[in-house]
Amino acid sequence: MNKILDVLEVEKTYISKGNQYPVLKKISLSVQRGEFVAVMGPSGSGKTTLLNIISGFLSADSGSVRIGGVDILHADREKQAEIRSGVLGFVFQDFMLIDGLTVEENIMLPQIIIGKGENEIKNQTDSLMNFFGISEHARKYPDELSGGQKQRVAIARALSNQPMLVLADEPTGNLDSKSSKAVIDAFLMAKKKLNATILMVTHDAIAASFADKVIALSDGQIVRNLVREEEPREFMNRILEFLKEVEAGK
Amino acid sequence: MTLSDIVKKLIIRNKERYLLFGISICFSVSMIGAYGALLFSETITGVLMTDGSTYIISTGMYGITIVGVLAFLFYANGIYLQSLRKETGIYMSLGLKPKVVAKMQNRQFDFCFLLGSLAGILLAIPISYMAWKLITVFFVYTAKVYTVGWKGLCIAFILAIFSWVLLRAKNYLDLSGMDVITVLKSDITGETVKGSSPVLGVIGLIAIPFGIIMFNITAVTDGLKRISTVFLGVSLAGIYLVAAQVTSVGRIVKRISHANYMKNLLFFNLVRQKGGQYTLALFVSSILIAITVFAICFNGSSFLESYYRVNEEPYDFAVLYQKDKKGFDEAQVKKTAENNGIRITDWHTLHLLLLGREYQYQDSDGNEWSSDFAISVSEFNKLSGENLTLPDNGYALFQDSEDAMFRTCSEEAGHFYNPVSKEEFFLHKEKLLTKEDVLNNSAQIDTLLILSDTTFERISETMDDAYKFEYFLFNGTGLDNSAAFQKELLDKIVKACNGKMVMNMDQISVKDKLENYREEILPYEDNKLEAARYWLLYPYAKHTQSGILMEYGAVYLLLIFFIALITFVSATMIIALKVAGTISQDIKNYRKAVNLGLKDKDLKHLVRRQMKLIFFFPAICGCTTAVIMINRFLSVSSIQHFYEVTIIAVILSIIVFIIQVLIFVSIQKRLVNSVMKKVAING
Repeated sequence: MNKILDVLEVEKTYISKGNQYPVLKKISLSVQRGEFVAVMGPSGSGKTTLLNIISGFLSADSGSVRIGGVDILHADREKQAEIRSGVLGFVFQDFMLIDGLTVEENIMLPQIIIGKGENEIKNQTDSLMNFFGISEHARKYPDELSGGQKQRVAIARALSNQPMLVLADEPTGNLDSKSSKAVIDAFLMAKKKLNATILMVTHDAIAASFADKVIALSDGQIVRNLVREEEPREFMNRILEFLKEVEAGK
Repeated sequence: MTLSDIVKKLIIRNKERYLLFGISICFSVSMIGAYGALLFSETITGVLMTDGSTYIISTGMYGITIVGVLAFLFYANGIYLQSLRKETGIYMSLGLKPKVVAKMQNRQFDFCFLLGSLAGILLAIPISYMAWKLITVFFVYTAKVYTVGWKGLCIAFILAIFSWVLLRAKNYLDLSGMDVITVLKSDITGETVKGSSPVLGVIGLIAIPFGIIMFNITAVTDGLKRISTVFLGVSLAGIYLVAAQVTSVGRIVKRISHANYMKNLLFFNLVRQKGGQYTLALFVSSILIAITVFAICFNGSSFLESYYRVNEEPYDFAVLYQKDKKGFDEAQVKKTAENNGIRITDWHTLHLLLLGREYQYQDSDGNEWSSDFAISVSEFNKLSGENLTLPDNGYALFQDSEDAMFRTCSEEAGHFYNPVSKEEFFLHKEKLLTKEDVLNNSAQIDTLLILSDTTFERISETMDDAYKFEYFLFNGTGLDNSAAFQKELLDKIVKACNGKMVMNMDQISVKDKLENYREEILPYEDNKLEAARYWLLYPYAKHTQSGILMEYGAVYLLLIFFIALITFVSATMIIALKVAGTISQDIKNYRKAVNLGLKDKDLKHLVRRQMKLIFFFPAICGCTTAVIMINRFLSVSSIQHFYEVTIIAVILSIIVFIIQVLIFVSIQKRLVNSVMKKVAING
């Protein structure tokens, strides 16, 4: 396995009304190719800020974020856009599908952006729709789909350019348990069959229990690295225990 | 499929998104075009006379409206841009370069804007035509041929192009520099409420009437006049404060009735969450509604005043006869009256001389030569019931008014000119006299220069008939025939003048004193309205005078109605845009509330209450402000019937409110159903 993501001593402090609020304190982590990593922590622990910095949506005060060896933090806006289209894939809590485009067109969109050929786009889109079981919805619009179906479309879209890294922000946050399970299954399939690398920020211990590794954040620091060696159910118990400890520590 | 195909597809799919924006553009361009097409139409300029004050006011208001419409377009564009934010965020997160995103979104903007503008330009002519047909109902003297003021359409076209270029550049800069985090979070986070204070809202409520009343006081107090406009600013700030603090209404209710607050907890908190989002929409729409009511009433007040004035005039008829016009005299007038079944009950013949007088102002640089009708003191006393005596070297000036200012008589010695003998002479100013109901002041003459009988006779002997007049003032019975009598008189006068009118007759006695004097002669046939309004020899009949005023006033008032319509519709559209934005922003909160057990019926009630707040706040705030403004402004003006105008303002406000209620009723059902549908969709 080789290193896809390398976060090194990233710091971020918010300033409001003259007061400083450190959100990330010298965070370092790495993700290997084909890994499925979950970032967990209580509200305000800095996990979404970390994801936004890795995406290049937010700047850091110091440190570096390398994706496939390229420092996204110090790239200009144009370069960051290139990295996002070619190297990263995004899955959001609110799906962020374009309502005016069909399922098929939403999946095609990232491929059109990087200028793939028409046939290549068509083949890749069909293949992803088959893969995630959404072919029958190809001509439907997002408002005709359930939450779980929408999120599967979002995952297919995120994987359409075979990105080095898929970043998922609370992908099960707006879903019921059945739909959440379907989304996690989609991630696991992508990891297994497409060798996708996934970094997922979540509150959901069940979703996190399927990851290879859980990075636990508290007060802007990584407080534990939980590596899964057992079945998801047992791993979830370890995660819940850790969360209790964090709550108790507060 | 390419990005271009995607843009095309989105244009078709998102047509509802563009509809409101497109309508806003179409409305703005069509209204500016239609107003301009009327304002610059040859027929309208014939009625409003391009150098007249009403025309200048109408043009000035047109300019202000254009600025207002531009501001409205900026607001509508802001809402439109807001609707693109999610899509923009998605494109950027997928790695589309910001400049490419901006270009893509601008293509959709171009489509919407240009289509809206084109429709606006095309609609401008039929709208102005319909308005024209409405005005012609009041026309008697003016030609009813519709002509388009192409200048107005050009202005609308330039406005469309200018705002398109401006907004396009603004959108490009906004979109290409947009922060993805803000964009992606924009639809899921409410605005943080900081510094909301019900106390400021109460201060605002007090500031509105306080500012207007203080304006009213300072505007008529010497030494304070300069600061009077500051108090208008205080009222404006008051409206702003109320609009800004309306979101903290829950805190006031909480203090007054905790139980009521708890009962409506969700409503008050949804409102509070909006923070400053409501401020601009409520402030701008309140101001626009206030302008709507104020513009109509303020501008209509002078016509209402004229109407009252005409009805209160002491004489039914007033006819000025120039003695060099042969074939028309006192006997002719009496005979014509008899022919038309009018029995004369009260008759006065005034013998007048048209003399030159130097109008002397406190600032002597402004002194200028003009004319006055002179009368002998004995004839004046007989008419007015006064007992005035004047020395031979003195004069008095009379004005038929209660509040004449006599700014043109600052010197003790009056400087006069006899146009026949070419002699300049001075008379001592003995008295400045004002009294109402001596003359018909809505007729040709409301000011008289009074001379001693000897002086009057002495000057009269030196003048020829062109400067000698007889002014007949009389009452009668059988006034239903006034119009026919007036028409017959007019025909005789026109015939005596050989069909030609000297429009600047009031200058003939000082033509030697005016550098650029030129006799302005117009044929009567082509200039009937101008004759009715400006020709000194036009016979006056009280019963038809209000018709002449209406013809002139109808054009002016229609233009003002146009402006009011533009401001009112702009206000309503701003409100509608804000309602739609607010409701869609709260969908997630509604969903959470439903999940917590809120019943459908209660949700509908909640949505309606939010809509009512946005809909009716501007109507109530704007109308109340306008009514207070009208009452206070007119109380310091020369308008005497300001109570009646205030009543009209109240009635107009009620109409505005009813229109708002009707619009609310027509859209609330649709919006509530749309909310219920969206809430029901499993997220």
